[in-house]
Amino acid sequence: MDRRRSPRPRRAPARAARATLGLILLLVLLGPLLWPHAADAVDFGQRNAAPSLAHPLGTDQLGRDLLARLFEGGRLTLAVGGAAMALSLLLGCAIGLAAGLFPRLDGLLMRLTDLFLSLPLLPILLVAVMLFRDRLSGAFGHDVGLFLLVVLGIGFTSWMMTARVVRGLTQTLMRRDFIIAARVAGASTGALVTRHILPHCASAILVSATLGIANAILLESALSYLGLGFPADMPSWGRMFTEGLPYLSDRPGRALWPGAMISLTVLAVSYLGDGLRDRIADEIRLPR
Amino acid sequence: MTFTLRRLGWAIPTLLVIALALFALIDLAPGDPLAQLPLGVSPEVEAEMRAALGIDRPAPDRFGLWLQQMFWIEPAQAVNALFGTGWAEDMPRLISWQNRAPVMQIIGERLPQTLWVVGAAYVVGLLLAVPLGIIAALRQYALFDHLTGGISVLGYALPPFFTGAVLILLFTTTLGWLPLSYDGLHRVEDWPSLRYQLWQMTLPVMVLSLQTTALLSRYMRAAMRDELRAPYVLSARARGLSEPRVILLHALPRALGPVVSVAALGLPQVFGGAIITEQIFRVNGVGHLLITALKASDWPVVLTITFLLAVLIVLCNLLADLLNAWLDPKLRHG
Repeated sequence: MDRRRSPRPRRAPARAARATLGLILLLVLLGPLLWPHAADAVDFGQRNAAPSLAHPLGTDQLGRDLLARLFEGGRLTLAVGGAAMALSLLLGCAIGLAAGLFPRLDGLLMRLTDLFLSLPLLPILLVAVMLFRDRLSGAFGHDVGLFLLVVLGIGFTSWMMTARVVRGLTQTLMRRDFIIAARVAGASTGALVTRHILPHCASAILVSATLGIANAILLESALSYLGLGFPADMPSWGRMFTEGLPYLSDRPGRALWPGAMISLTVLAVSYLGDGLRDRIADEIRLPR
Repeated sequence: MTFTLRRLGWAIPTLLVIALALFALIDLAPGDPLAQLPLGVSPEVEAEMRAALGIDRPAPDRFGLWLQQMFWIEPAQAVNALFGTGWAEDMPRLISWQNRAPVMQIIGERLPQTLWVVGAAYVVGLLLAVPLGIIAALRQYALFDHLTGGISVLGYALPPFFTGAVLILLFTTTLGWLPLSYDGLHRVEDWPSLRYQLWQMTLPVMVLSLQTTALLSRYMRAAMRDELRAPYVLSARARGLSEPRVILLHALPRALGPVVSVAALGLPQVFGGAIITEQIFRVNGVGHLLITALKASDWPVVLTITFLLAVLIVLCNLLADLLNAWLDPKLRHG
């Protein structure tokens, strides 16, 4: 039916998104190695400097180079996005597969999913981050503890859509002839999952992954913006935005550059996800 | 009718489980409201204060009391305030640790600001999304469609604090048209004060409605597209009805069905988004109260606001289900 659709959706946005994302990754990974200024090098002679040749984006209230900090913040933000996405995919796939494979668990797991979907997630995330902050940073050290805190918090509150999609696909697949043939031939459940079900879910999971990264980056920056994410000594883009906000009228770049980087990354990732979804829309039916 | 009852019967256990989960989460809190006591306070006095706050009792007791307060004592107080009755007057109310005032009273003071902003954003979002979605569906893959598509992706991808900062920079710092922060004490009494109220609401409403528009216009477009492909549209056109008539009187009412339920589901999200938006524009609403209470470890306030948001989500889910069932009899009987 979709084949009748006369003009095809354009692929250009997805291509541009891929290029942008590649560029951001390249900058964030190579930037700190090539750029002469360190992100935490304090220079009191250059406090709140305007953009210049030496500091293309200017400096902050301690004279630290904004571009160098932008590279470092990007590393943290993207690491959180990737790790939280991986965790939520892992949880979502596990729960979705369990619900799809074992009808006995299905009711319980889907009620759990519904329950999580009816929770006010942002307030709960804020509460959880507030409550477990000291405990985790006590157990794993300051940096690792806070990183884990944010990643675990986001991961545990955003697996639901993946679980639903994977469950639906698994249930459909389990009725297909090739799966029935494999089961008759004596394939174990583990083999079914790794050889047949997961490969068939791969594209849907990939789309979930792009949505997951975008969602995780937005949540992390919201947490940091509200002052409950990363502290001043671990500047993610969200944290840098908050720190720059009081200087909005004099040095708008201090808040707007990190904010623009968050937006650009999320935008690129979403367009990438949209492109992927359009491409696989004929393969499987996904909620649009 | 049985459908309605079944849905209601499902909503209540859901709320109870959510209440238990929230209470359990917050009960793990290491924060102690009496940690800041001066050194000279004797243990007896401290024990008395703990008893007064009700934190000396075991967790199941406190959960029971909290449920009683949420579902009986506080609603009874609301009835008292409205009708001058004297229900449950000697029962312990839910008290904020930070302000020593009843939690519901504090929320009641903050709620109007949030409702003004959230309500206006929701209405503006809906009013924009419906026509945008219709036009985008009619001109599929044309420039306008890509444009609205772009706007809706932007509405999703731009964090509200970033949009807020850009708007503040543009309209307040550079142009000086709009006030920087929201004056929560402002009362609407006459035309000039109403004008000021609308003026100061503009920026927060713009930020919040962008998100609503982004979500709803996409659904509107998809629903409208599906309807325009339906045979009855073809038949209406074949009978020679004018194009506006076909679109507005035949396709639109049917396309609005799914959009209405998405709009109902989206309402709690707007309240959630208000937490951040209130922070950036310094609107002293409920979201702002939540953040300050959270930072002060004022758990009764945090617990109550979070639970009320959960109630809102469950109610909106219920509403969406009922609307769907009303619009589509297949769901009611199947």
